Amino acid sequence: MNQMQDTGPLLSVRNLAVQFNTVDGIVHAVNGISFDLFRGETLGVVGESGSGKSVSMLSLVRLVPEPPGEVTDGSALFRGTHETVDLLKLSWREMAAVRGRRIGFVFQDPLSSLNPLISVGKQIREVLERHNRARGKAAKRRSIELLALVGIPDPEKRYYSYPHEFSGGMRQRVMIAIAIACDPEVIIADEPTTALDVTIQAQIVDLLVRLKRELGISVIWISHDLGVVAGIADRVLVMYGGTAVETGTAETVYQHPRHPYTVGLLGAVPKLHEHNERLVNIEGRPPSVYSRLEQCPFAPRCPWAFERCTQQRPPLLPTGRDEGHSSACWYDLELNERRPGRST
Amino acid sequence: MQRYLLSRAIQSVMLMFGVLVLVFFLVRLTGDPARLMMPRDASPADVEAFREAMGFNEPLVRQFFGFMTNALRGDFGRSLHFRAPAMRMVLERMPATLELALAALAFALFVAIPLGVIGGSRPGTIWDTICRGVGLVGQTIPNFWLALMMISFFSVSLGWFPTFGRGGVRSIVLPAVALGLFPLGKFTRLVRSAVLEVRNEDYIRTAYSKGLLDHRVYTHHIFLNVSVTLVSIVGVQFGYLLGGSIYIETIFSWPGVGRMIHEAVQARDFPLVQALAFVSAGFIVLLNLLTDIAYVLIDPRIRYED
Repeated sequence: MNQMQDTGPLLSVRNLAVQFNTVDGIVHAVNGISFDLFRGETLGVVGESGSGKSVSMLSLVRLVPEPPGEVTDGSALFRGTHETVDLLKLSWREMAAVRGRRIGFVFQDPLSSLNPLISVGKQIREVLERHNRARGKAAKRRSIELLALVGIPDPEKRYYSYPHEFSGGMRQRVMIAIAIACDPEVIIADEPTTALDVTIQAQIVDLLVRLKRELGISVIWISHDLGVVAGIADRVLVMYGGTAVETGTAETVYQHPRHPYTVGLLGAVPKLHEHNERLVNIEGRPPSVYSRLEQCPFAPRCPWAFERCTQQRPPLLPTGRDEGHSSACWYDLELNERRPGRST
Repeated sequence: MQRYLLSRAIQSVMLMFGVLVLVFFLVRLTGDPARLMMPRDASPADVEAFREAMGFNEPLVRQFFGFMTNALRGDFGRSLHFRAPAMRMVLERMPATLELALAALAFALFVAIPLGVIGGSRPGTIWDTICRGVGLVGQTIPNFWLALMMISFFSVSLGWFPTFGRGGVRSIVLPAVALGLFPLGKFTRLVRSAVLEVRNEDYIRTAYSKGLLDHRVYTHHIFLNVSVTLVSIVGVQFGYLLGGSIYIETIFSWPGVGRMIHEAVQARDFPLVQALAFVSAGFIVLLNLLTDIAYVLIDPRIRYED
């Protein structure tokens, strides 16, 4: 922990705001989120569909289509081994040099994420050649090594195979091979196991965890599956309605959640040893994304909400429980009391 | 892959056989072929003599086998009007049509691909508007009208190109532009919509996530996938062009099969019509086969289906 503080976080995102300019109006997808990613850690980003978790992470590297997407505010300091850059201020060309080289990606659907008309070998090799890691025969050799590293049997032969000749799990392994090809500092994994069978999910989780440990890569793991994140994340960022509602170590967030949404989310996970007739859910629906957030996004669904929650948006504040644990709520769940407002 | 191509080749041969059968019976379906082929004012004796000479009074089955045996040897009879072997006449005209069709196709693709890619990659911009405009104009302007306008402007007023005939590079420019206009419009629209669709695919995001720059993503990822759609429509359009463009070849007095169709139909020169129909159908079947081969070469998913 101390060592981490000495070097500072690898990635510091502050007040990131992303909107989509659509014909129906402006969609405020991400409303000012801040978080840190430390070297060698796995940050689990959890939230339901539409909470802005994928958009916020992909907008950092400009993989959100522009237009309609637009980053309207914020900074993202990326402290590399030689230089510190603000990702949000890079030109398109400079950003392209970061992607694939310093930041690797694994996407949700391995069936559609690989080009069906190009052999997997070429698709791996392309990233090596793009960032001048290897050319010609060396690039081919390295691609085969990578296939072997991610557990593809018979890699010399499979180098020439096309995506449709692989199963979903195998294609996701190929995606991982592409992601780690240039020894990146960070991997952004956007729901990497969601589209896979449960047994295959476990294999892909194991593979990513092993590679992360062996290669010393930091991972941003986006998921709506609290169970998966609990098993692998060092720290967790809980998102709701385009805002960060709670963050802290995985242990603290899971054992002592302080935001009503996190509490509800954990309550909604079915437990095997209890026999529930009905699955627990959180009442109500996520907020409309067309209005700028002036209030707590969770207020309409929150059993503890009071006037202040609909008048003022709560900032992410330290809970004091342990270092790095913060929650964005006007109600103190531990003391069971309302935090006094400035004027009211 | 070999099995797939072999089965497609066998299908093509069977199709050509079917075309022959159709060509034979269609002429008979129109009534008494001797009456149809002879001039209106021919005397009954002349018609009878003609019927005898052509073998039309023999049993139909026998006529059919005779026709098929000859056709398989490449003999479609003699042109009634020109008194020369029909098939040889058609094949003599083919190079001119082939040349014009290729020039028109090249012109269409040369304009449509860049335009479609530019339009599809920048939807909503002025480039896209131009692209959509060209697509619409190309498909709606009648090519015979454009041909006449171009002749009056470029040939008559400016004197840049000959007004008609085949000879030298200059003579092919106007007919090729006029003939290529429709496929140009079609290809532009097709490329634009295919680019629009493909650029939103997940694997394109993957390509960008690898740090690839636009030109690489477009040339190696987007265009490859667009070409699958393009190949099929190019094959069909080229087939139409090869069938001979009756209007354009007639307007420019281009000595191809299109003009010959016009002449043969007017002269009721049935052996010639039969040979023309067979050759045109043959080219379309051949093009479909080539399209299938191109598919297989581009898309590995088809290659391994069997």
